[in-house]
Amino acid sequence: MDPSEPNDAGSGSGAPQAGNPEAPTSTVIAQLAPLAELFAKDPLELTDAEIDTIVIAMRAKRNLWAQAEATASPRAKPRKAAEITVAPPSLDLGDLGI
Amino acid sequence: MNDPNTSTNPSAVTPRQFEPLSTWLPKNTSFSANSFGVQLAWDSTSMGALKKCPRYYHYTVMRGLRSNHESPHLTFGIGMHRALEHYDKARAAGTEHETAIRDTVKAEMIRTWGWASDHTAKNRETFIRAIVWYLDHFGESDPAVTVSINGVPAVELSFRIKSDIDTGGGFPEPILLCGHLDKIVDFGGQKWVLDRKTTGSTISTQWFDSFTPDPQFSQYAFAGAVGFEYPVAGVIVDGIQCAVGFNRFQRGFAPRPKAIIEEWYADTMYWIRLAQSFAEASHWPMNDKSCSMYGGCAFRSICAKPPSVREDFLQANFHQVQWDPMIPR
Repeated sequence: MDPSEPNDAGSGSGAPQAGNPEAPTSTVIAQLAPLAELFAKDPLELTDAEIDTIVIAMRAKRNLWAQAEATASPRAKPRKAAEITVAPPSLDLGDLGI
Repeated sequence: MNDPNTSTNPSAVTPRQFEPLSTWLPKNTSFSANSFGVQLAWDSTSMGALKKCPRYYHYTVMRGLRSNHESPHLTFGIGMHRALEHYDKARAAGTEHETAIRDTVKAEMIRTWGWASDHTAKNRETFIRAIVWYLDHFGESDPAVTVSINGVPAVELSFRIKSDIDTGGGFPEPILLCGHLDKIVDFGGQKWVLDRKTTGSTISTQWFDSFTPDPQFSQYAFAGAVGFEYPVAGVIVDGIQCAVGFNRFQRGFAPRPKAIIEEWYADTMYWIRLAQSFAEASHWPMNDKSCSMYGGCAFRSICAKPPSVREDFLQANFHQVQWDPMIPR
């Protein structure tokens, strides 16, 4: 694939978006230029479409990871954020006046 | 005279002979031009180094020495701050989320070109991944909303605050507290400083607890309250867990009530006076209980060698990158 050309990973219509539930994440990744190629390229020569490709590939990886997390056994799953996030304390500091 | 480096008599060792003064004098505007070794402008990095070990402070802050084998953790952490500042600034300027992400990724692809890390969880690709994942997690509809100061979004804030002490003596110079805040946000009706921290560990309540007490966050809260006249409730910590195949994010809170900030301020003045006493003695003693902390001190191998050969090893394994808290970002 010529990375200088608009590609399927771009933001144009018909592009497989990582967030599109109709496009399986593994398919999205397979259609993208190999990340290694983009990371090996002089970044000053990266096109906007190639930057978009990197972003979409990273999002696709996140979707894959999230899917794997969702199907993991309960024992192996980490605690949910809501269980360990510390609630902001209610403070009335007023003017510190230091 | 006995060679102090080979003598078995400790009394023969004179600390001031250890390192030549000529190597001590990089240009650093945070230090006094009149009193050798006296730091006038203190940020949390300088103070943290002093508290960790005066000798470490001497090497890193005064002389600006950095290992030639830079830690991927340091590179990754500094890069995350830089990247998210880039995004925050773009968003504050009205750039929409997707464009700001693209601009940030492009900038960081350029800035990290040539970074060769063999760390499996902290390398160029996982760095870009962490940026995209973090900004998708928190970026677009973050409930922590950036506040405005005089109509300007409160991002990338540099501060200098005059303390109520000076160096004393015949030519007293004021002592300043200075530094940089990522941003001040409104969350749940209260004002908070927001900071991001990366970790290789699973983020837990214990991890958040480690930021209280913490001098960096106390100084941030102090700056928010005094430097920017906001009654800051504390610091919001966005934890970024960096693993080989994923990143996880958790948001926690490190509150700083008024009494805690006042105590931190009083203690900090004490530490600054102590640093001045080290400078007056031209000796920064080693705190050898800290050598194995924080993942092991970068200067441990140096301090383990006889004083007479330390300079040779420093020159072979370290380079100079001056840390000057007075330079705004």
